[in-house]
Amino acid sequence: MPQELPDAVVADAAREIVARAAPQEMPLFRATSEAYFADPEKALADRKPKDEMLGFGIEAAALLLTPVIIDVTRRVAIALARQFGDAVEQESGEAVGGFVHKLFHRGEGGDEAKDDVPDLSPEQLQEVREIAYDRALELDVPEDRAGLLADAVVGSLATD
Amino acid sequence: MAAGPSGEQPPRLNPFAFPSDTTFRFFLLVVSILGVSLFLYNWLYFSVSDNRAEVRRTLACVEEQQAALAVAATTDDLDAAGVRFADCIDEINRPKAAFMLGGVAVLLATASAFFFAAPLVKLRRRHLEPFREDDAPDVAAELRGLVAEAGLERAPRFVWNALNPSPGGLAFGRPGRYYVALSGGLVTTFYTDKPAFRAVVLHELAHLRNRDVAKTYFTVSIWWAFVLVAVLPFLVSLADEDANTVVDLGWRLVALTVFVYLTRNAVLRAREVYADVRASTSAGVTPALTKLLGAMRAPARPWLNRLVGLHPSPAARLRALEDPRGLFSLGTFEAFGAGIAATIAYAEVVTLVDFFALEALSTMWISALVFAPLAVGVVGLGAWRSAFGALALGERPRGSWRLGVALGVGFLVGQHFSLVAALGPDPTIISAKPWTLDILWSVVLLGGLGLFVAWITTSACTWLPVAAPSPSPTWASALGLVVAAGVLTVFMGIFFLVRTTRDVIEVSTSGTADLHGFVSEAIWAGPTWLFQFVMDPELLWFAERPPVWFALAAVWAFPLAATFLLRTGRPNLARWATLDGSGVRLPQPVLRAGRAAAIGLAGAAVAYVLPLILRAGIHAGVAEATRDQDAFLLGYAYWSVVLALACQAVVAAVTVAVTSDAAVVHGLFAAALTGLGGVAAIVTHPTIGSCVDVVSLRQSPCEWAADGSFVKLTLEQVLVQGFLVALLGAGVALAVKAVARRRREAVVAVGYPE
Repeated sequence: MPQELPDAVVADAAREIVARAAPQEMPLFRATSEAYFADPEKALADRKPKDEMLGFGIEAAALLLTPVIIDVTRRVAIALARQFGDAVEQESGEAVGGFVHKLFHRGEGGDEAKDDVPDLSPEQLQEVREIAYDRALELDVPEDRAGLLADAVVGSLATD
Repeated sequence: MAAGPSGEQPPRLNPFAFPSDTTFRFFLLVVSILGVSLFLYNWLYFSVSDNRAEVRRTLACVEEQQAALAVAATTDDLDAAGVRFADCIDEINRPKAAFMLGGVAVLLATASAFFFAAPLVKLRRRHLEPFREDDAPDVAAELRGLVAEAGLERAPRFVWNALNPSPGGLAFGRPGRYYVALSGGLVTTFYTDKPAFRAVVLHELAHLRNRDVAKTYFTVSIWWAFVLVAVLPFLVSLADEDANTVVDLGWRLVALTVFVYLTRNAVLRAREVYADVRASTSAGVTPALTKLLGAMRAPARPWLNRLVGLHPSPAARLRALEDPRGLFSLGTFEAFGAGIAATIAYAEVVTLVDFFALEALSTMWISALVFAPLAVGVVGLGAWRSAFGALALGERPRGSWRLGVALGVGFLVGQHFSLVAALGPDPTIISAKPWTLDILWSVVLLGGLGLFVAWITTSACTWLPVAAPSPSPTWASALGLVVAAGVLTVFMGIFFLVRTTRDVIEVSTSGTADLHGFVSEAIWAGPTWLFQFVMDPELLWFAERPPVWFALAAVWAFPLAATFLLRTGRPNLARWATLDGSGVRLPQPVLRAGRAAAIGLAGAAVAYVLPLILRAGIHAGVAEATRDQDAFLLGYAYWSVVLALACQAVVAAVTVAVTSDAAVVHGLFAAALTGLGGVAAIVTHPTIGSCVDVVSLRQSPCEWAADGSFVKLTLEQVLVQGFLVALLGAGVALAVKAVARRRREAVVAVGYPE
């Protein structure tokens, strides 16, 4: 069972979700994802606003969703790879990455590509939504935004 | 700012036209920290040195001096003994002074190390990376444009943490290497709310333009260095002290530390407001800043934020943004704080300078030189800015004397904070015994400082219109503050020396009282207090000092010097006065130096002729035997001076009565001219008397009777004492004018009800 996935695969999948859930952050996606993958734990810790005693004085932090989305995507992708363990257990990491990529880019590549990945059942999609929603809440995303984020993740996986 | 009668918004006044008072407050903070450190290192030296050996050496010095005095036969011997004693004590004190200065050097070195390390620490701890062109090319292009818009000659290095969601920024660094830190949240704002992005970045760039970044971080650095290398070792040294010493020193140290901390935070708050106003001069930034500040949460405890907050409340920032006039008036609380900080520095510097065994007055003046320019930099600059704020609105500046009084109250309170006060004799002016002479000292101090700040305001009102056509008023305000610092240095040095040596006053007043009795035997000598004032040796000792002459002359010469530059038709539109460059017309003061000179010269003629008439009357009415007595001649010399002083007081009052603007200054100028007539009378009348019998007092050969030193002493006495009585005369005239004006206004109000 895979514990990790190639960064590029996760980033690739997350970019789609950022484009849907937080399009205003797209111009910074590359820089933000690089910072995240350099040290994910620190990246998520850094999301807490710093109390700059000599700064402008704005205390309320904006909600920067990109690192959250990347982290959520990574978790969902790993969970899905585990769920489809039978299909991918004999494959290399690279192939697992390719499988996950296809899962998140079901609409691309025409009917042939669609046939390479199994459809997700409503139960599986619900499970994905719960994983995404719970993780987003863990990362201090407000409930309404967490719901939208989870929906965006599910949307990127849904067949139709 | 309220809209004008036509409904249009008047232009916003430019707070950057003058040097920032926060700069002087930073310096004052640094100086007060150094001042406290001097005491702490003095104490540490005391803790680690061999005190018994020091006492033995001091006693040996005293014994040596007593032996030398016992065999001294001439004044030269006495002087030599004094010099030897001073050298002997100097040898003991010099290591102590070296230790104190060495400690301060360590403190500064530590602060410098913190200062230079701080940017590196910040970069590392905040995970800040250089903001690269390819991170967000459009943002990078915008940043280049904003640097140009902010008027910076050199662009700072932009760094960022893409993961920090805070939409704020931060300017930090050191001269030659400044940084502006951005966050992911802020850079995202570029795409969602570009005006907000511009507002925040321009605010940070404004800190660089206002040149407050290095000062801010040095203040923070020296604060931590102070705690680490001065306070901590001091606390350790208290471990073996008795409870009373620990309490006496402890509460003062805590009070000083809290004071320095609160002042530091107050200054840090002020710089944010200035950065907002600077940023708002760029197009479209004011609405964005207003929106940002409006969305910020008000502090939960506003009163606490006003004391310890590092940022002003959003409401205060919005007020300053809308109308920066609030930045032109220094609050009495700030003046009070400046007084405390200056006194702390003063008390400790006196201790250090004293180790070098200088003459007492020089010690006081050197020490006053440390704090007077800084106190003037804060309060004097506040007076200049307030004067500008009022003139720009066509008003007369009022009540600036309150700043002087607040500064004085700070002096009085600061003395109790001084660690020197914990040891040895109580040096404070307000002691534990109220209603003694201490009250009088305090009134003199508060009144003197009130007058001093009022005088600074007068100078500002005469010089600001002179500076109106210039690109900036900085040269005029700098000139004014330099003169004011010199005047305050001289007067504060004298005040504290007189205060310190107040026991001498008792001796000198009893001596002059005896002399009054001696003169009274031959001639009526008037009230004793008047005789004591005119003949007071301590006052005459001060009058001999050249800095005193210059300070007194500067009081009238500086404001009136503007007369030579203010001519009818001179442009008075000050473009620097508003943030948008549209300018404001500054009203020219009505200066009547020529009229004052005419009144002064007329007074001089009277002061010259009156004593001649008096001489003729005495010659005719007093027996020669009486006139020939030394006591009689001494009495006549005394009355000659009184006559000169009286003429000066009357001339000052008359001049004030007929002058509208800068009336007291005109009065002092006229009185000085009259004093010259009085001096001429005192110097030449004995010679005239020796040649012309009808005005002679004693028979003597017809020849020049005054030598150079007599002329000099007379000049010093009449001009210095004349200044004081002229000030009194001017004050009385001013009070009478004020009462008369109020009565007129009351009559008008009654006569023409609305």
